[in-house]
Amino acid sequence: MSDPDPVPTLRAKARELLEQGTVRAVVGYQSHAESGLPVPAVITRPDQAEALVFNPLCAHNLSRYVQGGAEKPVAVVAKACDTRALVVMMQESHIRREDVFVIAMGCTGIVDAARIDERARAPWRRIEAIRTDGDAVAVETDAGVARLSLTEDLLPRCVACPVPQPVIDDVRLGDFPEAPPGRPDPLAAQVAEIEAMGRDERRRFFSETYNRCIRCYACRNVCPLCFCEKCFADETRPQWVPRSTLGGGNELYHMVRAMHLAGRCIGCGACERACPVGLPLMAVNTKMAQVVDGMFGHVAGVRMDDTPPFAVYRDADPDLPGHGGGKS
Amino acid sequence: MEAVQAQHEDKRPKIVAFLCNWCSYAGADLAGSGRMDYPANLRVIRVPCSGRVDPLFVLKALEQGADAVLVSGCHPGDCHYAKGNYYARRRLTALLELLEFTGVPPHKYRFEWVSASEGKEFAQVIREMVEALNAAEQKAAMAHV
Repeated sequence: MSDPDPVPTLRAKARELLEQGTVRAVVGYQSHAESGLPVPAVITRPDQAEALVFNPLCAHNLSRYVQGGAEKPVAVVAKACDTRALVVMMQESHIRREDVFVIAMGCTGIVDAARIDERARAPWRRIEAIRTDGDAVAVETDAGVARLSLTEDLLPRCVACPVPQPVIDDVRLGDFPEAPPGRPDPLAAQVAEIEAMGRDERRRFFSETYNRCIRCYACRNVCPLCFCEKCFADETRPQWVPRSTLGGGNELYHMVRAMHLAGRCIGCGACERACPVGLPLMAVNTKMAQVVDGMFGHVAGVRMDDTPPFAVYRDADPDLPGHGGGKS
Repeated sequence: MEAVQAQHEDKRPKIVAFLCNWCSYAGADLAGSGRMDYPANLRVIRVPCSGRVDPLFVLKALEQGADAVLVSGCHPGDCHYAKGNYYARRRLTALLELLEFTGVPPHKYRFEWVSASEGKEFAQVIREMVEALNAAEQKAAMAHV
């Protein structure tokens, strides 16, 4: 319990990194000018460091912002789980370790911002302050205080937080839980629930899910690991996915995305939070993470020296059904 | 000729088969040159290696209306390129899990190792696929009675 409020230290660190020229930009969180909710911020001047915040509403995985044309070297504010995305990007040579300064933030879970609406006494317009005391988060709004709990109101992916310690870091601020909280994982429970259905019922479940998709590609665009410069869904020669959702292609898009994220998805749930029509997008991602762990013993982004699971093979890999393994 | 063509085009169920050039395509060829009898429901797409088969191809073929998709390549250890089929195996076994999880009927896909000498086995795979497709179609028809 060394650092009860890491925000002043965070601001000082960001200022120092920019002043000394260690990095050209710092990616962090700032309060949105209207709502006060935390949103991503990319700052490049030391005086902007005062705008940085960190609190249990900082859901975004900011590793999305260290890619492509981002100024480098870049510092990024990362929760322990977020560092897994950075690790996958480094394993795939998408970014270089030396280009990223990781400011790891202690985190005991992120609360679901939608719960503020439920707990505030009246419709709120603006968050004035967010105070954390133990497991309680007091979100002070212009319409009174919404009290959230760091055990009851967590995002699904935080409930059983599998990786409470950062995989990589250059500086650690705040307190990090030593071990996972040991609560049952709601994402795994969802997969188990789907698996318990009959095959026809599963087919209906996924058809109905994908039929509702408006193909806005928010899930892809928000995903820290959907970083192909030319996505198969954007290709026109050949056109794998039609432009209009009326021409079909929803299911193809989601199934191929599931394959592209197999063994890479770190389970941040950004896709599901970004989805404007509320699709349970994490179901296939969680399932494929289980599959790749079960078959190839690979968990995405938890060890720096791992090789991407589909870039390697073993003789003893599980074989196709009807083939005992190895040569038949 | 036209009659033959029409018969060929109408052949249902339609199976899209991605066959590796070195083993399974040769296996299919052997089935043909050996005059082995198997249903003419195949549309073969020859690929250099089963490692060339992107799961996207399989899913796109199904989406475009293929009744079933077959992916076939050299047995593990026999790849012309030494290890292409090992990479394919990881992708295909993972894809099998996704198809199963999302409830895609199992008669709509099959992944098999078929060597260049296994003409008989190739014919058997196609017979089994067509039987399974016909059985599923019959079951579906019965459900509407």
